[in-house]
Amino acid sequence: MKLALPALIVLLLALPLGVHNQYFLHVMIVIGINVVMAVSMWLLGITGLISFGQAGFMFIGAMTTALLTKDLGWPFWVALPLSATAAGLISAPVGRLSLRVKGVYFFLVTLAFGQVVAGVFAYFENPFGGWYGIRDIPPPQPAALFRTLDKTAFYYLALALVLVTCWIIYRISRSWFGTVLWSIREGDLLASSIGIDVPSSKLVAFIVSAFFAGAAGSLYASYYGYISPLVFTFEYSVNVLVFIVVGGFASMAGPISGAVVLTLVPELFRVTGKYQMMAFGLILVGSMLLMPQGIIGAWQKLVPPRGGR
Amino acid sequence: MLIALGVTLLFGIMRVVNFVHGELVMLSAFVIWYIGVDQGWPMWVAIPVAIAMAAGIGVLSQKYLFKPLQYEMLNCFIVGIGASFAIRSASWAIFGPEPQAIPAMLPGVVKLGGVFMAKQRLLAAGVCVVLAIVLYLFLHFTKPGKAMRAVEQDREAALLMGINPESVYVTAFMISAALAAVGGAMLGSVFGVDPEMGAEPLLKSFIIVQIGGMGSIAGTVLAGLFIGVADSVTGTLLGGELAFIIDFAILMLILIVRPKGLFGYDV
Amino acid sequence: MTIARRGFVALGTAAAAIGMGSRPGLAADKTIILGCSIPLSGPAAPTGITTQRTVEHAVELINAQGIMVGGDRYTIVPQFYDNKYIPAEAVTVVEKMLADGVKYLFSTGSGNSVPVVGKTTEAKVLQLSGASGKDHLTGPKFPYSFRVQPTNETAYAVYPWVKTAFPNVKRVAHMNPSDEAGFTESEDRRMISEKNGFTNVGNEYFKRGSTDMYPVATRLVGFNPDLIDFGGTIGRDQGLACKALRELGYKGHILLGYSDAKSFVDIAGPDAAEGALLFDTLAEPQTPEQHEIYDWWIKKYGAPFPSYVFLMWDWPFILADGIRKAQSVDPVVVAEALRTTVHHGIFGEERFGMKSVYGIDCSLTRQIPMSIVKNGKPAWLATIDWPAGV
Repeated sequence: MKLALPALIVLLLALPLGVHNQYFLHVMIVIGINVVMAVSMWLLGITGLISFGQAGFMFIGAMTTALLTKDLGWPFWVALPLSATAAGLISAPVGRLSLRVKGVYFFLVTLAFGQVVAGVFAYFENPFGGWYGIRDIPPPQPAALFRTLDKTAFYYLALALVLVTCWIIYRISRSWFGTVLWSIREGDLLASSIGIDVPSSKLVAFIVSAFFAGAAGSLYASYYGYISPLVFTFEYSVNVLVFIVVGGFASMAGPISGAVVLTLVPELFRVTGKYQMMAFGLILVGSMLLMPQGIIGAWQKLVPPRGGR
Repeated sequence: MLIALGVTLLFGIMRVVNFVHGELVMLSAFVIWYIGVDQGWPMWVAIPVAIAMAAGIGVLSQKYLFKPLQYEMLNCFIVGIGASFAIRSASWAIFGPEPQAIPAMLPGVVKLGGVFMAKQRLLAAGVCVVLAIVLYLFLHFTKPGKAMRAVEQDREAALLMGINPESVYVTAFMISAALAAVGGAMLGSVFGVDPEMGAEPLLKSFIIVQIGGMGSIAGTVLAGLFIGVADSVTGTLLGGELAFIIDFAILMLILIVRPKGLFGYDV
Repeated sequence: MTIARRGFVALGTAAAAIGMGSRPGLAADKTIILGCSIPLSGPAAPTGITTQRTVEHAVELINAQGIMVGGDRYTIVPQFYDNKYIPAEAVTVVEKMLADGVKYLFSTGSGNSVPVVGKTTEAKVLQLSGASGKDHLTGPKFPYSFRVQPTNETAYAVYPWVKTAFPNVKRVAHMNPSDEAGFTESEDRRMISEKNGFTNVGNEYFKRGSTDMYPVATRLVGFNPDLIDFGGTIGRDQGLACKALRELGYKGHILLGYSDAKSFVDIAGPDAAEGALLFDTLAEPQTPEQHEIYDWWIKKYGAPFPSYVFLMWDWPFILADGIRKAQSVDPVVVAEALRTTVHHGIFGEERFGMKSVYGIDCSLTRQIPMSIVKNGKPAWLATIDWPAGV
């Protein structure tokens, strides 16, 4: 079990050496973006709050990258951290306001925020491209490596982003601060009664979560080269939530496995054309009924974890 | 022009976040279209059949989907999304690409205080108000209705008082499904029938329920009106594009200022 | 951990299964795979489903004859993938096709076609799109990209016709959905109507799928136009907007396209729909060829007949003609041949044109059928020849 994680990472690093199917690499990159999104939403999720604004923060990150690299000609490597930071900065006041409400109402406020972001980017054609979106966003440097028809470099970029994100969020969730977040899930009052600053803790989680969503957006923009309000929709936020719930909340392996499985499964059914969505829907229903605690819950039942958490 | 949303009020009375609800609306509309238009039976046959079917599906979904999940909110949410994907996709395959229409029961337009309104929309609004009143009376003055409110407020306490929450849930699902069928009849006659028709009203009604305050019927009715008016006013004054942003900004503000909803109360 | 690995294996198995699926039916024939990225679920599904049914039949007819290149007989194998009308999905669909070695690609909707045209150009794959998208989709930068359905371009033919058919129309207002297609339509239509001597008095956008069309209708009526051009408005929105306009007392003309004529009338109601002009819509078959297609649909799928079938009918035949003319299945050679291919289809002589606008001949030009709602029923009104010099 101890060797499993390093072995998996080595396998993922070696993958492009053996696999040259560009579609496969593309799917892996999409999985990467989805994993980053799922893990970032999960961090806030462990406090019991679900943000439907994740796609909005992703859009902010993507837009920042698009404007910096295309209009100003800055290198992607500068734009990536700046995009994540931009999403993080905007999330601070948004979080300050929206975290005043709880439960379903928080759903709605963040949902509305996502719509406002998309609406603003769509309304101002200059500089945000309006509904046309922004095309021809340059790839990272060196451009000779990041090519449309050979995705190896993009694959490693996505993999790096996934590993960094997962590592940081894993550290956070296992730190003292992480314990604070878990305790908030048990109840605001209870947590504050043992001296936890509940609003600030939630806000920090919200900002971190937005930061990584922005990073995922930045990768999206440079990889796809095209962004538009049609991409970062409320539906996408819902998808990310589906990844987490189907994967399971109990540990970070939940959102990761959810994102991996639920990105792969629709691809397997893609050949069925018009029946793809039908199959996907039935799988969602089935998986919830059979594994109400998610993939991770079912896994832990099959293989009880040895030692403590 | 402000009654466009009258129809969506119907959904506002739902309590469980049930994504299949939109598909019930759609399926009922198709049943009504099939019996009442395609087969040429009168509407007073078609609509009750649709209501009975929807109520049946409501009970089945409660028994086989939501009860096993113990009404855990997120799980129900996902099951609902999954089921609605499957139903919608199957509907496209079955019903084909052509949207259908249920003819208006009351064709024509009336002029009310300088504003033109289709009679069918007024009818829809009237049906909404009547149903809302009936539902209010049911919840407040009948035994099963009171039991329902009791379970909503405190499941354990209700259990102690000898109320069986399960049977209450069955009734709730049945009634809400039947309301969905009536909604399908109204929506279908105003907007036409196609497999996607349930999706948008559902999201909108979800928002209305939140703004109105969970479980408050009067709040839901008023919030529905409020959203309808706000939508129309911003749309007319600012044009559709800007209205889209403003509407959601207003929604954010309302929720931040009044987290329990405009007419909500502390439970 | 095992989950991820199992995923890899499963994906591999699926890839193998696809490989088997595309095995040719007749051993003697060589095959050309035609990948179609179309919406088969979601609000845009009606166009996708109709497209799939139409293309399946057209390809059947083409294959019965076969495409002779040199001594080899080729047949077309269409594959249909659901892009759900989401750009990211469309990109994944195209990545899959490219990895499967697809050389001919068809895509509907500009939101799904524009994001992939860079890839198909670099991979030297022929992309045929039923979409607007102007120079973002076709032009000198994308030599293998063609548009097989006139969209915003129909205005080049329709406005001159309106001028002669309805000389009283002077003031034109435009209504479009607030998205990419709507913006493209609005820009072009305003430009073209002005060029033809009309005055644009208003330009409104609305959110696609709005249930309440009264706000936009109120604003439009306020401009006091003689004609309201619905531009890129499609589906249910058309019927609801038309109904709202008439209920508000609007008496002028309404011009719309991309519609299914029958459901438009159903939703608007026969009274409100009366007199509406439908561009690029053939409500009733006129020629024997058109009748044949109509009869096939009614026999196979039953009434009603979606008029969109006619718009999706010709392009597979044009592609087949292009391959015959090129005497090659190399998409680059076929693209060059297509540029000068003249096809005799259900709308007369059809060829790629519009060099004057886009820099190269890349957008299909042909007759534009016009229909009108008359006595509560859509009926054929006129057939406009493509204007010379565009």
